[in-house]
Amino acid sequence: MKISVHDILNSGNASLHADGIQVFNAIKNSFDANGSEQIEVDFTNIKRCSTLFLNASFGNLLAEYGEESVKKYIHPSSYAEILNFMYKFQDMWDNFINKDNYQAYREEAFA
Amino acid sequence: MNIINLNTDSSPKDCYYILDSNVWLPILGLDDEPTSSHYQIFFDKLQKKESPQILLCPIQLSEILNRLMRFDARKVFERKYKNNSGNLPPFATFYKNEYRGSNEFKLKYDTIIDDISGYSSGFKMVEPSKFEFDALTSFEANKMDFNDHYFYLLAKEYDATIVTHDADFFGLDVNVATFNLKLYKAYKDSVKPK
Repeated sequence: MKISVHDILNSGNASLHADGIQVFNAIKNSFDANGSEQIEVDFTNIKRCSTLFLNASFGNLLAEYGEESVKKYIHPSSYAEILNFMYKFQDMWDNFINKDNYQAYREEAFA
Repeated sequence: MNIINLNTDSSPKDCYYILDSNVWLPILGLDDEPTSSHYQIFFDKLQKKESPQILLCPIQLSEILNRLMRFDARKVFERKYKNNSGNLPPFATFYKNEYRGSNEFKLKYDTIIDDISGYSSGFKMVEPSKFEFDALTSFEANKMDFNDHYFYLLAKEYDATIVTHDADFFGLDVNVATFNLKLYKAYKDSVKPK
């Protein structure tokens, strides 16, 4: 199953928290309805994708379903036009799974 | 000071806003606590306004970049040296001599700039017009830091509201907006007639 980010947002920018929540809800609905079916999250025609968007979409998926399920069933695709997409994606993932390990660094940043 | 409880009314008004750096950090990916999402949603609303209402100054840009880069450097340091039982370089040395010239630094820096640049239609870069040594340094340095005083000067000049989650701007003659109920109540209690 393919879910088009552009079709959901009607925009080439996936920038805001609300954008991420919309995509999260679409993926969640599909995942809850179709169980173990693979979900391709298609970024065709998306020119810009922010860290805020990734936290609100994939970050929330990680919180909802856990690392193993997201890794196994939900995959971003066609993101070549987006600057450093995979770096941002992996950084979001790393921050999520190491949330506790990084707490001291986070506190230092917020101090 | 007028304090605005964003929990009861989070619609942006027709004024400028200065987002405290602790509000910018969750917008740029560094989540701290569940309340972060309130500020992220408020930021969305500001971004959707027709003309830019967020004020950003070079000092704040520098502060945000430094904090985010330092956070990333801590992670890279940990990855690189976590299994190293020998002599570890001091973090400051690692930052200057290894991290700053690395591909990790470049990727992170480009990513932060790309994120901020994506929001550029929603903010305006400004400096205080009284850009003089005396105005910039005349404040009670034992009560607030230089950067916060700088943001205060901007807020005064542009009649801007400072959006914050902490008490750094408590008691100043500028508008402050917050989702922090403890902060809001503490201020309201402090101005109640005895």
